[in-house]
Amino acid sequence: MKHFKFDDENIPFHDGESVAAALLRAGKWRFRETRKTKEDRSLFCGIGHCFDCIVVVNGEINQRACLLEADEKLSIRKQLGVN
Amino acid sequence: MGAGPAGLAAARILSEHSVSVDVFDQYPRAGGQYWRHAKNEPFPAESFKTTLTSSRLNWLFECSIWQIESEKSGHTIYAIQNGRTIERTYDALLIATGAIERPLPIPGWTLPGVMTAGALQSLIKGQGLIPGERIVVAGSGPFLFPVIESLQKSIQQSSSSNPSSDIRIVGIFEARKLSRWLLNSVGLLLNPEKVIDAMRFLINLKREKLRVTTGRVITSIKDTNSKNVKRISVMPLKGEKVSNNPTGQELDCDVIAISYGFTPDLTIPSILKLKTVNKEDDEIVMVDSNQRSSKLGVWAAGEITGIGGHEIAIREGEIAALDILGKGGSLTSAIRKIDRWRKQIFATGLARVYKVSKRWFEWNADDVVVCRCEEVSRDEIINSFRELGADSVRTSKLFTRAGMGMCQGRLCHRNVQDIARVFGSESTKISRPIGGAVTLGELSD
Repeated sequence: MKHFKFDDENIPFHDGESVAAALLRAGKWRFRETRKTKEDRSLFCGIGHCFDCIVVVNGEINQRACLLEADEKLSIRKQLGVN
Repeated sequence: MGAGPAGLAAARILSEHSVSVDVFDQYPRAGGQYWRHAKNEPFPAESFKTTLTSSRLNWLFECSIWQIESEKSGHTIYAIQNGRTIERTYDALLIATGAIERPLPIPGWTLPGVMTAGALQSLIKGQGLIPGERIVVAGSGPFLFPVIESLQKSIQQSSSSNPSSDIRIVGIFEARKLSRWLLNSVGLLLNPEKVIDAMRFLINLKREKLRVTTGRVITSIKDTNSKNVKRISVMPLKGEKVSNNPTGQELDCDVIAISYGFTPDLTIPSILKLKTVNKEDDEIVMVDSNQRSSKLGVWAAGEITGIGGHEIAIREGEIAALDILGKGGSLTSAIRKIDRWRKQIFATGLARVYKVSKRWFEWNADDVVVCRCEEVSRDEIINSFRELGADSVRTSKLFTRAGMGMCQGRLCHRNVQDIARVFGSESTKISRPIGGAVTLGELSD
């Protein structure tokens, strides 16, 4: 099975699957920490409206995990505030 | 704009005539939310398959419209696709951008595992994933039915392919009592097929030994120490208020799907400053019988002209397309208008049956985050009205930042609007000069 990186772990994914779905399948529910209260957030609306599932993708912040198709070239980090 | 049911229905008619048509959509495939499907799946609606391959239609997918300028020469759309700005001018625009799901803020609703019913639906249907083992579906309105149906179906599939899997729906809570359906008696008489739909659903539930507990709302969600398990409180709703009689219940689960219906996505109509009207507390785009908006050369169809579901959206898209072609007075159009009228009566009745209480923010005395992006709470928003002098959604936003985050108020606007209707005085209408994320570089060009 193909994998992408989430922090230091390899997350397996099916072809065509979203990054969010692959993370949840792997039991990874904490996608990011909020700016003010450092609360954990995850997938919420699932269709790109709410921006709650944002992660850092290959160094680029604010990428919506629910819209992004999983790919071996992705190195993803939990987003902490705006970093 | 929008390749959901309304947009596709219009495109189907336009593609049969010699006009040149561009179809914009922000997603990679046609279908909108209603016909959402996975990449390798066939298109869910058979009757639109030929439309999707029509050579007369030019599809602009993954395209985000951020500005529209109207001049005598036409309407110019500015959109971003693959990081590049597209600029094109049109004689006629049809806005069919649909609706946004509406969850209500509940203390604990920001915990991972709490999601909109639409999110659960998209994981099941679009990704083939049931994200938990003990699932609760709660909220209000007819959208809960198809979500529960697809959840049931995929649970059955998963237990037949893997006998050791133990995924269960542990609770279904609908805020409104079944007796409120009396408010839609005329709608039911005019749309008897809907009664059959509802019966079929209830029989299905019974077969699975599931039941919908009506007149109940979740009032809090608390994290337990156990991994991803949450404890919810469910209380009776009497009229607009949470009551303690009969006493509430507590329940453990890992996934909670919430939906209180939909609210029109007025992002693009607000760029064009289209006139809106209030329908059952929702702000909708004002249109005439041919789906013409208040602006010359701009039509609107589907959920932005009133929440009603895909069947009305299809009719409205067709009526708009016929009028764009100069056939607004034709018999084909008239037949569709009668059908639209019949369905609209049902939809309006439905909106009354499942009307969301304006006083939802009083269901729990504990404070709750309303704007998830900027982490602004109910009490901060109320305080902006009571103490700081805010009088509208807009001025409250300036004090609190509610609606200023990444989602640009898409999720909280409707809920802040309810608070503003109680504590404010000014217009609560939405106004947004730019429709989507755009870089400073693109703006300066």
